[in-house]
Amino acid sequence: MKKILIIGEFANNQISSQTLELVTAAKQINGTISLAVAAPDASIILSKSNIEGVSHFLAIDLASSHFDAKVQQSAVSALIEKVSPDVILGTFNIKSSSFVGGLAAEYDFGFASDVVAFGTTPEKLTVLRPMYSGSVLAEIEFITDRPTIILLRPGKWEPASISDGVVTVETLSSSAEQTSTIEHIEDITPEGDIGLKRAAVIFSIGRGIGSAENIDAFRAITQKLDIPLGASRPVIDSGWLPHAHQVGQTGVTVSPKLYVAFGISGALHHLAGMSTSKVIFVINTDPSAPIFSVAQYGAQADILEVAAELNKLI
Amino acid sequence: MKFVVLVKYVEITAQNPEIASDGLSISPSSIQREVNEADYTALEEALKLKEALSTESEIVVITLGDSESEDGIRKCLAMGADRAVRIDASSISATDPIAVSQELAAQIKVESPDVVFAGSQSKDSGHQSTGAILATLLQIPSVSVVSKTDWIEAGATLRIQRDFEGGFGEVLKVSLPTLLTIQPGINLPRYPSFKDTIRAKKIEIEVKSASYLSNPKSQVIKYSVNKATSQVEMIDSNPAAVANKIMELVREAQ
Repeated sequence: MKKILIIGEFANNQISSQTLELVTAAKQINGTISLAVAAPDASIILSKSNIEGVSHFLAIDLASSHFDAKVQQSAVSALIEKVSPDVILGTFNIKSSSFVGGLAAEYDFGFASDVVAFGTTPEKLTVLRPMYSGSVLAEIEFITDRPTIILLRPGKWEPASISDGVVTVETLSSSAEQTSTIEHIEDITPEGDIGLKRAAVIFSIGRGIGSAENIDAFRAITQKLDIPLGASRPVIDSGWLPHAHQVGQTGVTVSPKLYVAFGISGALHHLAGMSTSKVIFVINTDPSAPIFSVAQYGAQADILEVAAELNKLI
Repeated sequence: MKFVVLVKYVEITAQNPEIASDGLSISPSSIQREVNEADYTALEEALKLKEALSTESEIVVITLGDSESEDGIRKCLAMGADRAVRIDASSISATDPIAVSQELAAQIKVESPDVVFAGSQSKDSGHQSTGAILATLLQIPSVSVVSKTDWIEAGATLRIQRDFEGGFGEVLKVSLPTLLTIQPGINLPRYPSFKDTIRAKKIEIEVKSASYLSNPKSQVIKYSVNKATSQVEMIDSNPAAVANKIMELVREAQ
């Protein structure tokens, strides 16, 4: 029996759906599951999170809601020392990535991130992770007797079920200190909402659009179809569309029934925001564009010619 | 003052790369090399901060890689980096992020820089974790996935914008020393002139041998073509046919 520690997170003052995915993943490993969160009001929120399969809840109540990698790292250190886990699971996102690798270095643990599945090697916990922009899957073995820390890609496991009901939470104090060298100045919140998250169909444009003027054809199509127009980072960085249109790791994460990518090459940060879409159709003149690797349908065609044909059809 | 920029000469594969029958390596014929995009962005950001200083400063590029990596390092020198150090290692030996970071940390300590820059993620292994590991090994504060940097007080404090998922982010005041991981796309890396390219050819790249890679905590036991991502059905590229297929899928989805 392994001792598994899940590093949980909150979203909108409740346990995040990504944390519930970690619980499902943890159930694949033969062990007992502890779930811990270091955040403001962690004990109160966790006490109302009755999650199936979790046997032990731990909380560290942080004073500040501002994320600080060093504060998180020392809080999770306290949790690790309390639980002495064999396996630690966290979500592969920007916040976790900015401190969890550091924990592995601090404790001399094994470490892997962006894991999409566990391997089938008996007795040994191996993990599968994409490499080379997703074209290759690598199976990783840990060659250490020390514990391992694994960050899992969101959207790969179903969230575990959660119900109302009070659970007992063990509250720890952390020696975490606010770092003196990093000072919070202001928060940045998302600009507007163009409905990308709720849309069943999204058309998105990338660098292949070539110029701001060429966007008009796609604006016309998406307006007629009443669907949002997404974009990859280069279009936003060029100032051709506002930030609210950005699909990707630091933009909006989407999972529509149909995602049509026009002239998008498929950088990792874009793929992170759309690869869980049910059907992906890629139109690009470059057949080696990495985005073809996540597509069900592809066409090597000029996106402006396709846009002209689409405008005729609608 | 000194800046270190970490650069990786990444391996790029097409879809369905050829994998050796033992599953332990990818066929060299399926691999192309380039400087990791985010690392070029990080170097450009370092150059911009250096140029805003009135005092003397230096940019040192550190890479871990094979001798072919020097092609990429020369491009960084041509862009304006002053010196370069290469820790000699084959890519196949360098898949454990902790061991790789230990190598880099040892070299960074030799340089003792004020700011360490890295790209936020490498295109080939994509752990997005080197920055966090290095910050712990070097015992300096770090900020990941940075989208903007400016001097508040030249040479002493930086104003940093960092992004989280979903359009959220924050602005921070950071004192030196610090480590920053930079997102690709936030600036336009400069294109070196012919003269700079020639000049860069003459700069000697210091080569160091690796010492931690022989003791990794993880290793790849099998590479396979990612079947989940190699199932694309290519359709007739005639624009009218493509448009018809798109509309058929739109009707099914709505």
